[in-house]
Amino acid sequence: VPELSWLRMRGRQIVNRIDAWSDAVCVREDHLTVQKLLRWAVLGWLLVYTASLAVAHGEFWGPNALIEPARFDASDWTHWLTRLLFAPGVREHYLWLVAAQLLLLSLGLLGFYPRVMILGAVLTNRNLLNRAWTTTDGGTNINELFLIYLALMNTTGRPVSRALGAVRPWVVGASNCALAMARIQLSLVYLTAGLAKLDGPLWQNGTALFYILQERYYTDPLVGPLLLRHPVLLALGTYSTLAFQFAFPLLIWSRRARPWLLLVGVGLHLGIAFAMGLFFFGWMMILSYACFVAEPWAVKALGWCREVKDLAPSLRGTGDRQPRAREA
Amino acid sequence: VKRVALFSVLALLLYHVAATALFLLPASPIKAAVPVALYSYVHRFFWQDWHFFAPHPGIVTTELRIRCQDQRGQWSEWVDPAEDYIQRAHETRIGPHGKLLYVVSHIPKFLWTSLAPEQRYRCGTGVLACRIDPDIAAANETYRVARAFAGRVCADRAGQSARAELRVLRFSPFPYSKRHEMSVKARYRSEELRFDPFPLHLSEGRVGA
Repeated sequence: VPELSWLRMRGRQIVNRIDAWSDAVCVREDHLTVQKLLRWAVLGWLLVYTASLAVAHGEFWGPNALIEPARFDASDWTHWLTRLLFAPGVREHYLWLVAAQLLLLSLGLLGFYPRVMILGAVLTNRNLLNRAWTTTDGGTNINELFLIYLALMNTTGRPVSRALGAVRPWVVGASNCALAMARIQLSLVYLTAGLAKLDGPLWQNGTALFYILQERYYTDPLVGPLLLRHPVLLALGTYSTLAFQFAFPLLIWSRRARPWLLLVGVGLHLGIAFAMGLFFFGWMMILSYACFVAEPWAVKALGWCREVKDLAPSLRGTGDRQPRAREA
Repeated sequence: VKRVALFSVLALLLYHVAATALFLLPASPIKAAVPVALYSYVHRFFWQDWHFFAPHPGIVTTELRIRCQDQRGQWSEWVDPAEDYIQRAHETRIGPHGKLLYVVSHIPKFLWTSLAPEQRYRCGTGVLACRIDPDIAAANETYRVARAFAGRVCADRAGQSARAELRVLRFSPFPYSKRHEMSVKARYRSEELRFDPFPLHLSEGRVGA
């Protein structure tokens, strides 16, 4: 019967398509280096951030920090997990938590059980952020979200072992989906920020940057007054920011537009990092773009890092040889 | 196994995207129709409050002023304790200074927002300057932090001080229409909160004291 054979053929086509999707999501590992690069970017940022704050540790996490302490309820188990630095008898020992975070991040960066180290860092980071809650911003926020996604990803740079058997498709699937979610999250960040701006009259009439750059705390004292002399430039900047935030979630999925969009984003966030003094935030946003880098570019970037690493011992070697030559 | 893994992983991904979108959505009939329990995990683990200077960028600057009284009863000039922090934050990008500025700039901001307009009295005209009742101030958690900060500032600048006093000032930006008259030093002071002087003890400077 022709109808039946047509149905059978159609059914086989659908099954074939599902199998192709299964391969793409649960078997193929096309972004191994991207995921490794993302691990370096996210953990590296947090390591530098924590080490920077650790210089003045008492001002952020100490019992005498100028930050209001939050309530601690000993009967709530989540408080023991995330508000440890408010627990009586624990808050004085905050340096152990800082040291643990630095150790976990260093080991995670070196590739020592990365998933375990990342999960540990998620916990220590939440406790430190809860204590120094007035220091949080979009940078710490996106870093924390990406840490959670990284805990689900295979960031070793090597394929998942075939010895895992039936579990392998789940591990690979979770890893690929976590990368997809990191990308979607970044797009949602820009989309919601863009939508929220549409409500603001200053964004509509193009004067938002003119007013933002008058904010005393976060405007660079040299760059701010210089830019304020050019209101037309600032109006263009205001509308370009809006345009970028709406273009990002739509065009980032096009391979042709992606590099240009990322380039504009890097420019925008460098501007925020230097003109507005939101340094760590600006850099975290730039580093989060690692999830959108194409695999060949990620391979190149890691190869370049390896070259620098290989160069370092040879330079050290030259330094060692020189005094001996002089002695001779 | 591959197919089951595909459908389960995709279902989880779609669920997470939908939950994130629902969490981010402003109040709407769709959001009201979905039980909060279905996406409350986003708040606990994936919380984000991303507005990126939107819809209204924070354009009014709230600042703290402190003055100290020495043992002989002589009051110092009003000092802006954030000045050094701002300078250091812009001089050294990598390091704790940028985030230290976050900490000290939050004190006047929270002091302003945590003291509701009905708690302010004896408000003057012109620059709207109001006083805060000492009992109300004493019960305010941020005021305790501000007092600790004043204790540190007075110890650093004036050595042993007997008393200190705090003020919170609000500065509005230059309107766009008056941009031609704009200068860096001239700023619009719009509102002010005044607190009674308080004695500085040896323990002042500690938040928990």
